[in-house]
Amino acid sequence: MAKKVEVRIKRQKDNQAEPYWEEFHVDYQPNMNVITLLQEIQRNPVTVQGEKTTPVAWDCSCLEEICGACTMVINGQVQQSCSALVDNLEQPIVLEPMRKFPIVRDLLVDRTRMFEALKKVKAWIPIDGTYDLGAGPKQSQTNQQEMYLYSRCMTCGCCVDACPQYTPDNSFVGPAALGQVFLFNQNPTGKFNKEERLAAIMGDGGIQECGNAQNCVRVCPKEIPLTTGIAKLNGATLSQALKNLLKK
Amino acid sequence: MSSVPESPFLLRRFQSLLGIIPIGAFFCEHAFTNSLAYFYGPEKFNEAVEFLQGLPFVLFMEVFLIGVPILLHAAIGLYIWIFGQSNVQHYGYLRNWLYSLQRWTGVIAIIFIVYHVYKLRIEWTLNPDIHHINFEYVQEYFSKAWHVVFYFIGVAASAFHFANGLWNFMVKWGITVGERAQTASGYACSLIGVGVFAFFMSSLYAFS
Repeated sequence: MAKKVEVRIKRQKDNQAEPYWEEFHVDYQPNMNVITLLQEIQRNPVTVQGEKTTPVAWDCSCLEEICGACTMVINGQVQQSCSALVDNLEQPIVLEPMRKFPIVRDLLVDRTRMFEALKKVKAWIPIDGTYDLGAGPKQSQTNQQEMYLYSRCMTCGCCVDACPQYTPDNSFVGPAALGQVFLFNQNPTGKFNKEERLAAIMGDGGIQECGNAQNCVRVCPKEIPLTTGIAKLNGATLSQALKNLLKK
Repeated sequence: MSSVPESPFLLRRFQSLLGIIPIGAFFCEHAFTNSLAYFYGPEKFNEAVEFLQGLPFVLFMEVFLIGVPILLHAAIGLYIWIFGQSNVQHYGYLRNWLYSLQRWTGVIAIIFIVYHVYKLRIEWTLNPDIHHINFEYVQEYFSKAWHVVFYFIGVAASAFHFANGLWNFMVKWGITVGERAQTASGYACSLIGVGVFAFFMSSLYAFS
C-alpha cells in the first residue's frame, strides 16, 4: 500500500461563514510540497471519512517563493506553501488561512490592506515628467547592498500575520510597508520625496504603532532586517516630526 | 488634532518619554531612598523622608511631576494595550513574550500604584495626628502578610516594566538600531531592572 500524507485543513465558505475542519489522506510522492498536496485534493476531493467534498480553494502563482501569493499558516507557522516541503513537515500537516486578512474562501485571503498600506506610505519613486530627467544621482555600493535586502519584499504578509500590533480591527500599516518606506527613502532619487513618506507614517496607523515584538523579522521568508529598518526610520521620523514642529 | 498631522506619532513618543523622565527617574530615586532603611537603618530613612517632604513645592511636584505623568502614561498605555492583540500562543519568541509582559505588568503596576499611593501617601496626610510617614509607620503597614506579597508582585512588575520600557525607549527613539546594539542594550536593561528590584527588596527586608 502506498504511503499516505495526513492533512487537516481549516475551511470556510466565505468571510461570514463559520470555519470547520476537514481531514484528507493523500498518496505520498517524493519531493511533494504543500501545493502539490492541495492539487491532489483538488483532483479527488474526498475526506478521510470517504465523503465527497468541494475542492479546497487556495492561491498560488510563481511556485518559487518570489510572489508571496501562496502564503498560509502551515503547522502554526506562517509561510509560503510552495517552499513548504512535505518531507520537512510533521504530520498531520495542518493548513490554516492567514489570520489577519478577510477570508475569501478556505485558504484564500484578501490582502488588499497590504497594498493599500503601500499606497498610503507612497512606496514608489515618482519620475514621470514631460521631459527626460536624465540619470539619477550616483549611489554607493554599501547603500545599494543595504537597499537590496529591503527590495526583496514580496508583500506576502508573513510579517503582518505574526505582528501582534497588526489586527483586523486597527489601522497599522505593518512592518512590510515600513520596510518599503525605508527602502525608498534610502534611494538617492527616492530621497526627494522622503518628507511625504515620513509624513504618511506619522499619522494614524503609522510607525508609532510598532510595539517591538520583533516577530516580523523572525518570520520574514526573505530575511529582510525589518526591525533594523524600522529602528532607523524611528530616528528619521522623530527628527522630521521635531523639524516640522519647530519650522512649520 | 488634524492641524498637527504629526500628533499621533508625537503623542506616543511623549508617552515613551514620560516612562523614563520623570516616572523612571522617580522610580530609581524611590528605590534608593527606601534602601537607606536597609543599608543605614531607620534613622537615615526617616531623615531622608523628612528631607524630601521638606522640599519646596513638594505637593506641587508630587502632583505634576509624578502623579499626572503616571496617569497620562497609564491612560495612553491602556489605549496601546487595546490596540494590539497578544499572540504568544502562536509565536513564542522571547521579544514577543516581552511585548505581552510589558502590557500585563503595566496593568499590574497601575493597580499596585493606586493602592500604594492611597495607603502610604494619602491616608496619613488626611490624618491630623500624623506629621510625616516614618519607618515605624511603614513597618506597621508590612505587618499584614498580604501587603508584603502585594508589594513583591507590584515592585517586580514595575521593575520589569521599567527595564523593558527603557529597552523599548532606546529603539523607539532611534538610539539602538542594529541587532547587536539591541541585544547588548537588552542585557544592560535586564541588569538595571534586577538592580532596582534588589534595592526595593532590601528595603522590604528592612521593613518587615
